Amino acid sequence: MLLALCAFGAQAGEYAYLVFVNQNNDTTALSVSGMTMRADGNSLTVTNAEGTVHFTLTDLQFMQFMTEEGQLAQRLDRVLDVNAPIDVYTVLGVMVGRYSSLTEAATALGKGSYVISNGSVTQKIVLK
Amino acid sequence: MKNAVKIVFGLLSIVLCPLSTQAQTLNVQSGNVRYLFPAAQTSVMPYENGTTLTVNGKTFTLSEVDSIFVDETAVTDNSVTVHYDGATAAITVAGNIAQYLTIAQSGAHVSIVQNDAVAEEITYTLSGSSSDGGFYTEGAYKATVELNNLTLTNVSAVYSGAAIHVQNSKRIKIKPLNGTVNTLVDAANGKQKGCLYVKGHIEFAQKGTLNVTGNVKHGIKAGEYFAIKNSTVNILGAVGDGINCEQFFLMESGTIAINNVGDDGLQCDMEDPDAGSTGITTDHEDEDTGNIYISGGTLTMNVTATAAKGIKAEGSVFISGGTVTATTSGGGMWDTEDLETKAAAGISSDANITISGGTITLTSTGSGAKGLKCDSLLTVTGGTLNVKTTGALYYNNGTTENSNYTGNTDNISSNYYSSPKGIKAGIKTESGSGWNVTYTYAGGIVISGGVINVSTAGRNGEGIESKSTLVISDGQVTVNAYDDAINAASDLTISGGYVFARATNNDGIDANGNVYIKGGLVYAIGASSPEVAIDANTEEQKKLYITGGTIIAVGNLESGASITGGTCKYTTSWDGSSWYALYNGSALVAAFKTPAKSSSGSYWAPAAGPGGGGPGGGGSSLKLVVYTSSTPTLYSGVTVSDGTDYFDGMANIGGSVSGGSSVSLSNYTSSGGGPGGW
Repeated sequence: MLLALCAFGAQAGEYAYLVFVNQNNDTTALSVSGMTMRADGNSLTVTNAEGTVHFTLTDLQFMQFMTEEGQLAQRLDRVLDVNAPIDVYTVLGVMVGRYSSLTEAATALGKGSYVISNGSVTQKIVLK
Repeated sequence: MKNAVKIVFGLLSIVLCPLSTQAQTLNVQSGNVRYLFPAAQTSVMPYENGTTLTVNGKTFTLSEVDSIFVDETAVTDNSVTVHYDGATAAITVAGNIAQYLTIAQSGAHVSIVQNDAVAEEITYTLSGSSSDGGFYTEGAYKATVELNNLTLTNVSAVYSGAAIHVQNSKRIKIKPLNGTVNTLVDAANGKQKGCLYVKGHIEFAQKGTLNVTGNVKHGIKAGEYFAIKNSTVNILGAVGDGINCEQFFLMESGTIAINNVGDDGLQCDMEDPDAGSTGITTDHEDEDTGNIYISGGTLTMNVTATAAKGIKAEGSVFISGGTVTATTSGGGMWDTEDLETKAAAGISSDANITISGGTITLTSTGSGAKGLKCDSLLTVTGGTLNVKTTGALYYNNGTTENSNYTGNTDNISSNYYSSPKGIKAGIKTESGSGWNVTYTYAGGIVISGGVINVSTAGRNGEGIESKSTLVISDGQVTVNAYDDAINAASDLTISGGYVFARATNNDGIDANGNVYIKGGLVYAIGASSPEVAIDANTEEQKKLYITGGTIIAVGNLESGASITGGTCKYTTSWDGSSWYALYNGSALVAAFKTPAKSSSGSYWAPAAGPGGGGPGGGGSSLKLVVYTSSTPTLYSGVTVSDGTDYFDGMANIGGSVSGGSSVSLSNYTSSGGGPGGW
């Protein structure tokens, strides 16, 4: 378990991409090289070494750094469902317990770092 | 999916964290504030309604964001930098703490308020220069303020009039970074308690320099304790104290120089005097004593204000190392609350003073000013203490002031005058009246080591005065005083050490109780009759008891002295300013130099000095009295070589003598002395 988690979390290389995700979960991965952003009204203009891209702000759901261009798109396909049962482990791989949902786990657990898994998706979380 | 993101990153405050650290940094620039988020800490950054962006818990209103960019700026977690540049300041904030800070700015005045969720220490690094700026911060968690070549003058007093104001009751480290020079000046129109004000406790560290000018009150004010290691702090000026703190003051190393202050150099009070002192605690944890501890470093102050103290402690003062130099020049004053005179002092303690090491030099030149004063017990076990007062006797009864009072103080209230004593310790309390007056004594002086040199030049200027008992068991004590050189309100005991006590206008050694000399080398010089070299209070049936040691006395011993354990002899035929050799049997005990004599030879003639014109002539020649445990013999006009000088060159121990002539000595009888002065 621990090895699998590390393999997931310890990404090799740098965060070379910033991926923009819209309300439809469509992703746009842009190289962070020379990247600047400026919001103007409902428009977000993103410029990098490769050019300029415009986003409609109200259409953006979130953005996230990624190490590989297609990484987030793959992950979005199998993102962890917060309402589904999950197993919670310490970062050393010791099982803490099984909860009916991430919400229940977050309520029951104390502050700290944990690894959660629903069998197909495994992620590290920090409760603050 | 969207709901999941909201729950995970919003309501539940759960952050997905990659395990590796990446070099990319997301910069969010809003006004003069740049937030630096390491990519590895950002995880999902939600946009909300097209108006906000949240990064690592910090929500930005996009209309207030000037730009966002990605670079490879290195980010130190828990760090904030403020770089002053004229009329503005640029601020950077590490992304991991961005959500906990509320930042406001007006020109070069910066306010940063930490919320109570901060759980890690934040380091604020201040640099640059502004002729009208300030740094204000609030918080409830300990913090560090680093000074990196900062020059900051506050004029407008926007968030505070202090140059740096830390409204935080926790431990605040102030670090003038190694090799940097930092200068703070506060706003003259502010209400701040200090140019550098910290509500909590200050811990100075690092080997940089901080220059401070306080235009309203103190230079540095700590609401709790003040501790310093390594740093150099120069108080260039202050309306109030140079440094004012509460709980306790602790100096282990570093340098503090205090000048141009309007009140005391360093003052430490109890934070909660109503609750009383906590007493000294282990590692000073939660201590509230008003104590001052100095174990190293260099502390220098020059204070000029009326009745100001160089060092003033509501609690005790402990000096175990370092170099302490306090010079005061202020005169006396009438205290309208206490209805008594107040005068300056180099060191003043409301409790005890303990000196076990270090070099302490106290010089007070003002009228009535003392060198060292404590209300309870002075203990000296080591170190070197040099005390000099040159001021005159101060008189003030609330309506009439005289800074060079020459009248007799025997029959006026002690509240009306202040004597320029070298060292004063202990408390003598009077109760009752008339024939029913009784006295109680507290504190006093205990000397068991160290080197003490005291001189006074002004009227009533006793050298060392205990208002209770005085005990000397070891060490070197050299006193040259206008009035009694060494005085005790109660019993005075010398059982060891080297003691030199010369008074130009009173007794060399004087006790209002008994005097016990049991050991040590005592060289006492009193003024001419009725003063004596060694005086006990025979008027109240007290007595001088000599049971051991070695005594050299110029002037009589107290009449009725009990002399046992050795032999006491004297001569009236002795030369002034001449070296004598004193033998105990055949063993050389010491060589000593006699004081200068008057042209008539009827009294010794002290060098003229401020207030020290010498004693009035006596009717007969002063005796030169010697006492040793066996039989004393004396040689005059000897040549001394080698050995070690004592008593400012008035004696030599362990040396060789040659030449000289044997002195004819007569047996000294206890009835042969005078009655002694007061």
